[in-house]
Order: sequence, then structure tokens, then C-alpha cells
Amino acid sequence: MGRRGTGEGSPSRAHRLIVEAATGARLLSPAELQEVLEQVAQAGFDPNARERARGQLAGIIWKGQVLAGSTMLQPEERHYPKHVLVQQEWPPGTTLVAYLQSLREVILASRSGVATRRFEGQAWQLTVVGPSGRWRGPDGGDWILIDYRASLGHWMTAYQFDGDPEQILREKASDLQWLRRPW
Amino acid sequence: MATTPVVTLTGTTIDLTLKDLHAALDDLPSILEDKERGELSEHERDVLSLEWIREVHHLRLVLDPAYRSGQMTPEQAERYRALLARLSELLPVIQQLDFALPGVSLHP
Repeated sequence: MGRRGTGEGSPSRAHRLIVEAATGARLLSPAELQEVLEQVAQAGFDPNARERARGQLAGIIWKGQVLAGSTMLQPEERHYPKHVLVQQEWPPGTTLVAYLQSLREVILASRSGVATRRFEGQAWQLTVVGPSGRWRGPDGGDWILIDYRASLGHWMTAYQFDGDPEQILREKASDLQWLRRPW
Repeated sequence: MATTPVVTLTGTTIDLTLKDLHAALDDLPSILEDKERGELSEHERDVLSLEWIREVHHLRLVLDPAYRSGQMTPEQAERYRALLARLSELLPVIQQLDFALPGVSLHP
């Protein structure tokens, strides 16, 4: 596997395969789709990006620090407290490691759907949607969604939701194409 | 639009979804302020836009149908009417951020 796409220089092999599948330039073989999904599962959130805690996380204690709304966090350190600790989409007691592991499990699960789409007319994303199963929390949903941005080579967000996955995937996105439908 | 799937509604589902929506709405003004000050990165804006879609989806799928069909308790209905009023107030902010629009009637 080549290096991940960074938006600079040549894109990674996974980036190239995703864009080729998304644009209809080629159909991915089962082996190629598996290769892409293994890369996506390893990618995780971007450790170099920063996101503000904002009001929803203000006041919670994270790693011994009381978060302010303006606190800048690494993405995984914002998504975990937001979706697991505050919104309770995952079961109580789910750790950061378990949260990330649940996302990797969904990405690699054969029942999960895999789609490409162009978000807001620009960025190509690979979106994986799979049943939440044992990872469903009090405010969780039937599905776990992981959005992977091909040009970035990292996850953008991951959350649980109810309802028809296609309705969520079509919102503010074009060129939706299922590489594999969820079941 | 595809057929809306059946979602089992419980008081807890409605309460938690109301809480999530109110929290997401409360954050919108600070997001716009950051954007106007040039302090909102493209990465963070896109992440917040993606996450806002979850809230709008549940507004359309869970809250609005429950309210319009009388499945909410009086207290939940009151909170939903407050949420609709807040959505109306913040609609210009949502538009300036180019986030997904509510897609439900904002009239109680």
C-alpha cells in the first residue's frame, strides 16, 4: 500500500482506487475493495487536525482538564467525548480505544455498506455504514457511519443514527454510488 | 424521497434527540463567529457540516413526525416548539454556514 493521500504529491493507492470507483472509471474487484477498506480502517482521525470543543463539551473533564468551549482538541479527542460520553450513542463505559475499535470493526464487517459520494460538490468521500449491534448506546441508532475523506486519508466523523442510510448519504452530497449495500 | 423507515419511538428517544438538537443549535452562533473571524478551518467546518446532517436527519425522522402525530408528552411538545422557534431564529446562521436546512415546517 502506498503512502496516504495528503493533498500533496501523488495520492495513495487507496485514494486512487476510491476516486476511480467513484467516477465510474473502473469497478473495484472484491480484493481491491478489501484493500481499500483495510487502509480506511487503519487510517483513524487526522492527528494533525484540530477541532474546538464548543459548548456541548464545555465543562466536562477530559484527561484531567476541564474543557472550555474554545479548547482545541485532536479530532479523536473531540469525537469520543461528544458521541460517547455526552450524546451516549455508544454504551456506557465505552473507552476511547473501544470506540475506535468499534469503528474499525464496522469498516471491515462484510455486512456494512460502502459508498462513494462527493460532499458539497467537492471532496470525494468513502462512507461506511453498518449495523450498530452491541455498540448501540442509550442515544445510539441502528447504524454506525464512518466518513473517510479520500484526499485527506483520514476519517472525518463517525456517529450512530436511525433510519434510511441513503437519506443521510444524499444530504449535501452528489454522485452517490454504493460499492456494496448494507444488509 | 425514499419511504421513511419505521423507528421505534420511546420517551427516551425523543428526550435524547431533543437534547442533541438543542445542543447543536446552541453551538451554531459560535461556529459562524469563528468563520467570520477566519478562525474556522475548512476541516472543522466540513466536520461540523457532516455532523449537523445527523441532527437534521433525526429532526425529520424522529422529532417532527412525533410532534405532528401527537406522540410527544406536553413537556416534550413545549421543548419542541422552543426548538422550532430557535431554528427559525438561527436559519440565517445555518444558511451562512451552508449547513443542511431543517427540511421541516418551522411553524408549530
